[in-house]
Amino acid sequence: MTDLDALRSALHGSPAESGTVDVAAVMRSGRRIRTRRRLVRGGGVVSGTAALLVAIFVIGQPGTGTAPEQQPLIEITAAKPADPNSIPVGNVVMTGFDNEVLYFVAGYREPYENKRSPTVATDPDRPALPTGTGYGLTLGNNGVGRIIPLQTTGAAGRWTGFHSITTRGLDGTLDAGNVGGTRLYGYYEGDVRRIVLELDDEVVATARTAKWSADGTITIFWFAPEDIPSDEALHAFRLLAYDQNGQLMPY
Amino acid sequence: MSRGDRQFVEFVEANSARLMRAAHLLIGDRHQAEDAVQSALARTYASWSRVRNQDAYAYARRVLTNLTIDRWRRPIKEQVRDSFPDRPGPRDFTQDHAQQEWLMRVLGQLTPRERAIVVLRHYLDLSEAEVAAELKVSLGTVKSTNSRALAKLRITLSPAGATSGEETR
Repeated sequence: MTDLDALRSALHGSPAESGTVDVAAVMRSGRRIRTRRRLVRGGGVVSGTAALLVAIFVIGQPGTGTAPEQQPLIEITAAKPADPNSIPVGNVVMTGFDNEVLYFVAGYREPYENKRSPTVATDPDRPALPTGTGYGLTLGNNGVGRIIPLQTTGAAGRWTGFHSITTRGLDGTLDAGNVGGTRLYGYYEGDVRRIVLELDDEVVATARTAKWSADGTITIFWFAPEDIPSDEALHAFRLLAYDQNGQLMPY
Repeated sequence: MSRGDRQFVEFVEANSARLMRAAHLLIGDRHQAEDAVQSALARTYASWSRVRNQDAYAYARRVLTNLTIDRWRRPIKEQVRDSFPDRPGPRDFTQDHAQQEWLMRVLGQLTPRERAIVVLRHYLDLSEAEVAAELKVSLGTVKSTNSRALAKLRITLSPAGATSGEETR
């Protein structure tokens, strides 16, 4: 018997104990998932229509493009509490949820590691990499007649793809005041027309989008909180971006 | 109970042990493996009307794999070492539990990516191309990672082993 045969024999061997599956519980959970997916699909049309505060681009259908060899799962960028004195640069986007707004701020300082060039990192005392936008994407709340900055995500370098994919509600330090579900937002650099959230190869939500007035290559995106099932691990989802021809764009 | 539900119950009865075993090999923790299988089966049931007339097992396996491999999808820097770890201790195949203890010990030496590829390739018997598609990585990545993993385990391929274990089906 070769070593490989021994490994395979061990892999196929019988463990001393084997777990059991509660089929009834599985089916109950499956029904909840199925119901939620239906609600998401059905509700997406209604809420999408209602959210015409911003431009929503729905061109092309997901799945018509050629899938890249590797489409990673979501990588969340950690956000920090926003500078209360920060000033918006460009347009302030109304998300339509809980008086929340998204906008960029200048001078955001955060050391960051460029995932496309791991050896490059910013000096923590400098605003950002010269190649980056130099701006931080900020989630704020304008429910009291003025914008209260909540959290900011550091601007990374520039490339076609997703940037600053961020949540609010999963990080306990930023959880206070979070209402109505998990937030998921960020921005995409490139001529994106449609951004969707996918679970198990099925589209479960379409992002709301708005161009940043200061740079038309930047599209801010966010999802309706109710589109993000709270009892699903967010990192099991995939974010997909499509161009005007329905072709899949880089992650 | 509807006909579809009966089919699903039969599907679970027929495949849960294999999925459970795969999850345990992938994760290394029995309780987490059980949770992962429950979640994978729940998602399979949620899509049952669509997948039951296709390859439902492949669907459940793919969901399970996605649930268990996300750790190395995240920006975790894998430490590639020039030297391999010490050879695992003496193996005792006279008893199943000793064999399983050895197996879990040696799998524990692998990175999550290496472990996933070894399990998909050598337990679930997927071809290298199928592993690449399952994990959405390149064929070259599968080949190199599999070779590195086997080298870490000090597994040398005999000509026969190379034929049965390394070919791309």
